[in-house]
Amino acid sequence: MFDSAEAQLAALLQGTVKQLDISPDHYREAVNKYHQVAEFLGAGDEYEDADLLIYPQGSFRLGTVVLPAPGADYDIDLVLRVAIAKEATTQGELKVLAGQRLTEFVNRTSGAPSLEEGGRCWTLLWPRFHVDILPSLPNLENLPTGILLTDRDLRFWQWSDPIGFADWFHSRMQDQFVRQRKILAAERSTTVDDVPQWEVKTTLQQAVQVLKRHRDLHFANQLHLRPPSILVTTLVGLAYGGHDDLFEAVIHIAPRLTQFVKDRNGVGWIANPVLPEENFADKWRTNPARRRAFERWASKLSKDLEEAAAQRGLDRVVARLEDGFGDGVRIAAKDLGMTYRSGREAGVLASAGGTGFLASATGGTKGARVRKHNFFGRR
Amino acid sequence: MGNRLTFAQQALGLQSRFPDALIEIGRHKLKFVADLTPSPLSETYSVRIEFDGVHRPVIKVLSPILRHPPERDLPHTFEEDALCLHLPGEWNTSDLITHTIVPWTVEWLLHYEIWLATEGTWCGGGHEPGALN
Repeated sequence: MFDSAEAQLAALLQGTVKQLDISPDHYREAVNKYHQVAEFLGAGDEYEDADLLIYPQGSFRLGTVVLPAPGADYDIDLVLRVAIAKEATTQGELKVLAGQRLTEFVNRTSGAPSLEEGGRCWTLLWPRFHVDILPSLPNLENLPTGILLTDRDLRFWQWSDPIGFADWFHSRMQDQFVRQRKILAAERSTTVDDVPQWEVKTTLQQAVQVLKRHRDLHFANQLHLRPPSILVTTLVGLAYGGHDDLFEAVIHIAPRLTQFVKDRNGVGWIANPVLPEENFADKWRTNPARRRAFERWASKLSKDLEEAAAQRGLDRVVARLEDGFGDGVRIAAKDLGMTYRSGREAGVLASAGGTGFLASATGGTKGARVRKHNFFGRR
Repeated sequence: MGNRLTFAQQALGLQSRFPDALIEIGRHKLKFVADLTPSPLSETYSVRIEFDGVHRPVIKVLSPILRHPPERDLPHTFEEDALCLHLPGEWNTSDLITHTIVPWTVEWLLHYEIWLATEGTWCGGGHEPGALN
């Protein structure tokens, strides 16, 4: 059940971010929606050799979605890669072309979403789902996955490589991913390949979610200073120590975040791991307040985790965690209580001699199984 | 119902599982005081169990003092905050306290902490209006 303080803290954090993750049903719905767009546009998927490719990027691809609140709308980012050479088009043309095709999609689809234009992308608005579609070209200097992006405010094509980034992120959690997928396959009596990748949730993915949740609350009233998700995800990926336990993972990561910020000629630099010339901390150059805000946040995160772990009394631990992670921790605490209760009801809860410590009867703890009973009382 | 256990049998059972506990046998009362820690993040509670050999054992938390918000009574308790762990009939004098009352007390303490943490949700089950059943 919970043999250590870390395991209990992990359960509380895990329960908190799970409330903000995309549910399996919504995940499938989102995939259906983007396949609908892809099909209309005649686009292929992933690495296919097609004129048009459409694929997810960002937190939806990485499995690190964190909603601002339970039930909030999902923002899903898709890349639309059009196989034209950059010499044959302009950024403006590419954006307009994509807009025309998406307008046709909206006009010809029943139950269609509405379409809005943004700085770099088009947004299809369905109820609950905001799907950003980022027009891009293949980057012939960075094949197979590199792309070039349009940007209303920039004259030059922007380099990007969301698939390469996701592959890098995945490489940081590869061992656990393989182990967990095997476990899921065994539980379902199926083959490993039949377990969809997105159904595997690793400690690294959850660690990113935990940090993003803390960041969202910390910067709730200072959105202009909030570090972007890609920056946080990169630092978590770099600082991750391979821990299986979520709490051990995040308490290892938090004090190391700032160590992975490098200096290049006096400029704070968090390199895109797959495009080292791209600096995720680029905005710090023109706005040093962002860097200071990042450092303050990282130190607050460490403090919140350490102080929560030092409390005794689940209520005090929960209250301390709520300071950093919001009232979802309370719902996670309820789940923790229900775990103990269902353990007793299933006859697998044991109480150890000496301290009474409650643990799983099937685990290593020696103890008497807790006999079934009903709490009673006039109040 | 099995045979009623003697104070000596109850004391032996408690002693074997809780060697550090204070156990006193009087003519009409068995007293047990021990420090119990329900889970890794829980507090350690000093708990006293008194048993007169006939009626249900009376369980009190000696320290720390049990807390509750002003507007809410402690759940699953009798007067003077004695813990109420079982329905009538779920325990009788042929049951070893060390295998029943003590683990149930530990469970109560765990769910008490969750009750405090969640501002009033009792996750331990049992019979009470408003409990999660």
